[in-house]
Amino acid sequence: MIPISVNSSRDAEILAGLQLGGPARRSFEELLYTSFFYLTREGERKYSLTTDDSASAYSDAVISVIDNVVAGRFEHRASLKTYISQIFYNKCVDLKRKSATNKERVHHTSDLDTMMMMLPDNARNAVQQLIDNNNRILLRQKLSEIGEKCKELLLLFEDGYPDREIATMLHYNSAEVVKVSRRRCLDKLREKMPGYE
Amino acid sequence: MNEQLHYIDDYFTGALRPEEKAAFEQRCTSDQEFARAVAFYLTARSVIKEAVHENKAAAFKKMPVSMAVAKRPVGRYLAVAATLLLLVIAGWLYYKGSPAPSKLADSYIKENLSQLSVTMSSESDSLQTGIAAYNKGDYAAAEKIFTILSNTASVKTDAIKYLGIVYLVTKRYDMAITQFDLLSQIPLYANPGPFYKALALLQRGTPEDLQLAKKLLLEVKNNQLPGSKYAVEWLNKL
Repeated sequence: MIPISVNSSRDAEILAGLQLGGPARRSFEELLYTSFFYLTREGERKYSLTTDDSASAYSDAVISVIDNVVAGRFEHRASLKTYISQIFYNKCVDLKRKSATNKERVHHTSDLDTMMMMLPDNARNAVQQLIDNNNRILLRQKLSEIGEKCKELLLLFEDGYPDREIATMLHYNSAEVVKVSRRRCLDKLREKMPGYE
Repeated sequence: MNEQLHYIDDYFTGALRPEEKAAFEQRCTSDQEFARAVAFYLTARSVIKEAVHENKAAAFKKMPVSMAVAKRPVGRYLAVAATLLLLVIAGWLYYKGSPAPSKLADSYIKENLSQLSVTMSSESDSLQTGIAAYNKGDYAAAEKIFTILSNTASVKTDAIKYLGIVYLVTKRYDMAITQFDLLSQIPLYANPGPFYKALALLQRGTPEDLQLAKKLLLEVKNNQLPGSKYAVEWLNKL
């Protein structure tokens, strides 16, 4: 397939901003969100979603796009509008299929699946059997008990910020200090979990 | 700290060499305790990621509706086209009709206040420094110098005048008017204060400003104050 180049200056601006990193990234995330918000009308019209559900699916789609761009998984084969539309329509279909009680959880296990895919089949199967989804609720609760700084550190890392950028944003001496601190925070979280202390 | 955690994090952040990766993957299948630690690590990271997404979604939801409801591109192009058309019509009307008061003032400022004349005076070196800064377009420096000098008795009058002019060209009309009011109160044989104040009022441009500017220009004309030539001309046009 012949790659379609990024065909608008707005796309280029948003993509550059998302890859820029640092605190400035937030404003480009918001710009991305506002730029294609009109797609939510399609969610209401084509998929008969409520306004809130359509906005929720759109928000999920934007977050996926951000994750993909930041992780370098966006290959510029389509314009941002086409890319976000495809993800958004898939989210709308997902939302439509989900039961009413599970609507908020469209993307929740996909991140785990993505990381699991880093393991080869044998190792993945061995680890998969030991994943206890019941731990998730308790982990969320314990996440708020490890201290604000630890939590912020872990959240920034999972948001795709590399250690060197986190060092600048949170005033650590170096990326190495961030790495060690981040692991300490994860360890702190583990120690708070019954059966893992 | 748990050494295993370093090892696991190194694997998932791509820090291990190929042979170390192979050993890691082998250990997942042969050491259940280790596999359990990996399972915990992955679950924890996935839960943290979930929290990141929820925070982001909540932030998006809080964004003001006016920002969130972006128009379709077609609508935006139409809006741009309509704005351009309006600008063209407004421009045509503007040039067709009589000159706007602010345009008169604008052209005076461009012609007469872009550069201040440098006077030879040994006792007012600082004033010359301020004028030089002004003429270079360094209005911030000029403002600082004239502000200080406006408290120095020997150059107070000129400093107040120049400070007002700095405010005028930098479009801070309220502050300019204050300085020109001060200048007008100084007993001078030919006080330029009223004319400069009229200029600032014409630039600020509220309906009351226009009336007051006319009154001041009339005073300038009747008393043959500095700027009377322009006052006569402008009063015919306003």
